[in-house]
Amino acid sequence: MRTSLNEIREAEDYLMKKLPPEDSLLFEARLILNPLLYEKVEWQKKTYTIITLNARNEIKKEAARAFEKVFNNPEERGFKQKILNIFYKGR
Amino acid sequence: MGKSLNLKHERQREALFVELYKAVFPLTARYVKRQGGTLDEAKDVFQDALVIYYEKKVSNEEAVSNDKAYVFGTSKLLWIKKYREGIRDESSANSWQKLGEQDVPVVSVAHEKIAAFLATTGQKCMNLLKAFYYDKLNLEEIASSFGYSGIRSATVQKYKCMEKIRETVKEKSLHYEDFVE
Repeated sequence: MRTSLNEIREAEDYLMKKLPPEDSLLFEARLILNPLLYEKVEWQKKTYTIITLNARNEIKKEAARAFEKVFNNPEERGFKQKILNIFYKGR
Repeated sequence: MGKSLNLKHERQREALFVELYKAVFPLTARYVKRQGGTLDEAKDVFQDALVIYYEKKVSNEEAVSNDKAYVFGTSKLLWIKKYREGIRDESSANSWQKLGEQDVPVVSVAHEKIAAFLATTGQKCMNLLKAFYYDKLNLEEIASSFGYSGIRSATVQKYKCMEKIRETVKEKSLHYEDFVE
């Protein structure tokens, strides 16, 4: 792998606490001495947050589709009726 | 429930979600209605509860001993946090954090905007990164799902995607002042 990708791997191992303690300390020293590396690691940290957020949005959309699938399925009419009764019966 | 399903794959996940809607959603709906909530609020918290449930299951299959009770309990707590305690304008992720999920990062509006941007423009890489970091597929499964020749090729691609998306996150963040702490 090229150097920049190895650096990403190393930063990932550091952020995910997969480095042995002595390597982790060494990496922290490099972060102090190398502002450019520090900046890259900070952006990488934010990228993991964005990946998680994006993935959650995807799973939530899947969950919404699953609801529509049950709610609009003619074979599951009982489910739809039950839900509508809970919210709208007696209005 | 769900023991024989591999939740890491969308079709099987959908089958389980459908099963959980049928078994548990009426209970959540009744609870939300009794508390003065609406059908849309019940749907919202139930969807969030399914996301939390999914994350628990992929992290550790044994973490949830009773799937139905877990989803019902989580949706109840989420409704209290999100709606009764008057934090309706907050994103789901921040409500989850208040629920005590330790590993939920604080999410800003800028994060939401960048995630929405990447969902449309960086989809291929985002799918691969999601598969590895969120769905917890191993590199062998990723190579097979995404058509790479092997683990090594999938590994290199994963880091290339990380490099690309990291650059986009940095570039886009310049448009959103509040993203830089």
